Amino acid sequence: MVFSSLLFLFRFLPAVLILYYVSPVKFRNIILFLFSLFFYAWGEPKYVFLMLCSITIDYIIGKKIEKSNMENQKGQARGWMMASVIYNLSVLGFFKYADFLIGSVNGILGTSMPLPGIPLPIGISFFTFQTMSYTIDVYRGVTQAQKSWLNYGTYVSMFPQLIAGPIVQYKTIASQLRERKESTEDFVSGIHRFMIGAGKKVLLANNIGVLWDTVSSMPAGSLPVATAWLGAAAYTFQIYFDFSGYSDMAIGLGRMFGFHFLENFNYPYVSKSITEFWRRWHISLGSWFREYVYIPLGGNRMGVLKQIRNIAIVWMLTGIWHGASWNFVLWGVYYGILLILEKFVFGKYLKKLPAAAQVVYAIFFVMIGWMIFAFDRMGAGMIYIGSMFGAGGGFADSTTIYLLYNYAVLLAVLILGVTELPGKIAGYVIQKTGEASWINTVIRCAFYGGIFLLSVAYLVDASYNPFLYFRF
Amino acid sequence: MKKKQQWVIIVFFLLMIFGFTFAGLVKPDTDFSEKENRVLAKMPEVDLEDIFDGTFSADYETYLTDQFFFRDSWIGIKTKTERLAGKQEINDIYFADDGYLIEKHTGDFETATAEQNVKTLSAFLEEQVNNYGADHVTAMIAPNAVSILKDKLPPFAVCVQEDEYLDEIVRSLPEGTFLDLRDVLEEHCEEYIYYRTDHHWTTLGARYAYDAWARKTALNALPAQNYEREVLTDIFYGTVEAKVGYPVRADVIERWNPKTEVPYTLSYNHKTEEVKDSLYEESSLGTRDKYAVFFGGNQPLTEIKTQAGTGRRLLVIKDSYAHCFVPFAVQDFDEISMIDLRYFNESLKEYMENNDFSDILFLYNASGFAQDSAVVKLGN
Repeated sequence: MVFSSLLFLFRFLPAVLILYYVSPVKFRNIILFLFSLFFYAWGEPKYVFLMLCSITIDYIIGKKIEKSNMENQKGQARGWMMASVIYNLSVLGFFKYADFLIGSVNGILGTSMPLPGIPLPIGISFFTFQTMSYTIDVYRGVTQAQKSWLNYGTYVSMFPQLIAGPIVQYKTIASQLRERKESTEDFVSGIHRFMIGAGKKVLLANNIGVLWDTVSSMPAGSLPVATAWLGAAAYTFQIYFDFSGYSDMAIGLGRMFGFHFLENFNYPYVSKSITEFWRRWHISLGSWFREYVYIPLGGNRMGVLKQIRNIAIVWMLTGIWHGASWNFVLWGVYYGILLILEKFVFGKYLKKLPAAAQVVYAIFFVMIGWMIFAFDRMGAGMIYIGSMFGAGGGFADSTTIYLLYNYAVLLAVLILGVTELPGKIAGYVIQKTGEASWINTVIRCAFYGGIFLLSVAYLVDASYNPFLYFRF
Repeated sequence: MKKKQQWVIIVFFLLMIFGFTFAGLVKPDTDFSEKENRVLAKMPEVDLEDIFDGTFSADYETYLTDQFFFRDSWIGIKTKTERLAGKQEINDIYFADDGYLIEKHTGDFETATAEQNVKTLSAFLEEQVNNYGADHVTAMIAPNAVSILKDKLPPFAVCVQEDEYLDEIVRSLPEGTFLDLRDVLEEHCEEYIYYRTDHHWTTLGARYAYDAWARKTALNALPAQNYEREVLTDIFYGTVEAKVGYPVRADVIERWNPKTEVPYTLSYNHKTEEVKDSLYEESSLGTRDKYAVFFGGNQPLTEIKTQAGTGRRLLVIKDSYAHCFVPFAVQDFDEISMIDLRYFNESLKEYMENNDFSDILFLYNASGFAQDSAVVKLGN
């Protein structure tokens, strides 16, 4: 199930809200847990058992680690922690990477082992990382083991963040699982985030996605330069508004139930360097890799060579985490190289450029990066990137002009939307009208209501499929 | 924010979510959408197997969107928003000049079916040329509005897929069998030859095609001036309008009545006992699907016997573009059979052997032809 669907808005959400709030506090986690299982099972009826299995195994291991720690059996604790990591990585490896690994081995050795063709369980990359953060932190003594299987299950399966993040580390919400105070203030800010996220996803991302679909379905080898860049811009906007919109909805929904998740995006497209971009893009993934891979490898504390090695490892893994194919590996390596170059070669010169030039530098490389990311078949991606630099021949044609004026308004909205300007304007309006004024309340309701109605209109039309001929 | 104001926002939000939920729950299900001309999804049956392989979830979501309350109005809201944002096309439909809604049909022509249909048709025509002679075998793949009304498209819009497909057909079909209607219709592109809101051509458009076909097959057609044009309705909203739900000018459907009519009878689907004496099903004018006024819509088999006394007998293998075309033929042939391959499940070969036709006409519209998986039945 996804948030941006009529099913979620008008069946699931009202049901979970009612049952959650009429239940006494001690039953609220179980309500959330059951609804989350249903949420997951809706699209993945079989894999919900895989998730339950992971929950149970990591729950048991968590308790074992804590027990070993308390008995000062460091080795034993380490063994259990390793067992959990190996289990989680195996699950991820089997369900996500089996086809890719076997296909690559076939390609290299010329063998023809059959591909298992396992369908990817939704959200597996997210929940395996969350469960690992738990056992590793229990081992490190950063957090206590969860005593209740139910509470632990609620954490792993919690529907707001289950299928597309943010990757919520256990320690950041451990206390909220046990006791949290839902408040009207949180609920209101939850509504705010949810509606903003819905607008970003349904009204902005889906619509600019149509432009990307149009451009990417043209023959990539003969795209004029301007069309190729227009397509790249469309994808760049789509992926940001889609993903950050989803994170906004997740954070908002969490608030409605009294949870506070950490932020996942912070205006990444106004970054002045690639290093800064990755501090602002998918923050929860970056922190996960820093905390559980980069720093344990030694981080930057063991000399430049080791640091370069560590950056390389982290970015290979970051790349492959995004999907099981070579273009994602390349995408990770691409960022690894850029980050190393910024850190050790030209970072200091970059800072001397005018701010606008720095932003252009960053967004240029980010857009190229997205084009590596967008094409599963690397050859196709390279041809597309070639066209961005003139290999397709010509600068623009009438289709370029047609697409440009069709999407001019949307593109203008999107360009404003990636900056902090809309937030500042909203802040100014709130300040002018007065935070506690009724005008302010009316403006808010009109804003949420507008997004809501338009989103419903777009969601209903998504299925609108008139049948030209006669009914059979 | 004061507590009271927080509550106002919360109640407002909950009213939207629960109000819409409630409205959806109390609204009775609709079986058929007249506007979209299709059966709407029903509540799927609960079945363990379907639940486990995910079909139940998918079906239930289709059911929810299909049955959503005020469905048509929501579509209209979306279209208006996009037009305000300056979009010249929505759901692959151009908002063209003079109130025309023109379908792009991108993607219809690059499928395996589209390619296969050209081959199947080519082989079929080859065979018929041997049986009936090249002068008596014609294929007309009528271009759709997008390929003829290019001047009406929004500025800088380019849509060439259909033209490329038609070029491919010109190259593939046996010499002398294909009548390229683009040359004929482009000459009249300023006239009302396509409906503004529907995917069909108008009776006038069909008439121009009929004249061209008559020239090709040396048919002594009843001249246009021997007809009187009659408006059947001037409030026709067709299938293309249904896709966008946007206020546009209504279309006019007309029929051409011969000043002196050749008597004829017709029957559908071998029901020789139910003989009709009109090509027109005027009750359709009271429904949304007003184009069905011609022959009452798609019939697997239509057989017409006339007293024209020309000695020519015509077989038309067709889609609905033929419906406003064939009435002209009634004046010029002794017998006409119309077969719609999508619904005709007899052997075509046997049917042709049992009837002594003098002329064969294959008449489809380009996008319909490219998408129709029933064209293979030409080999039956």
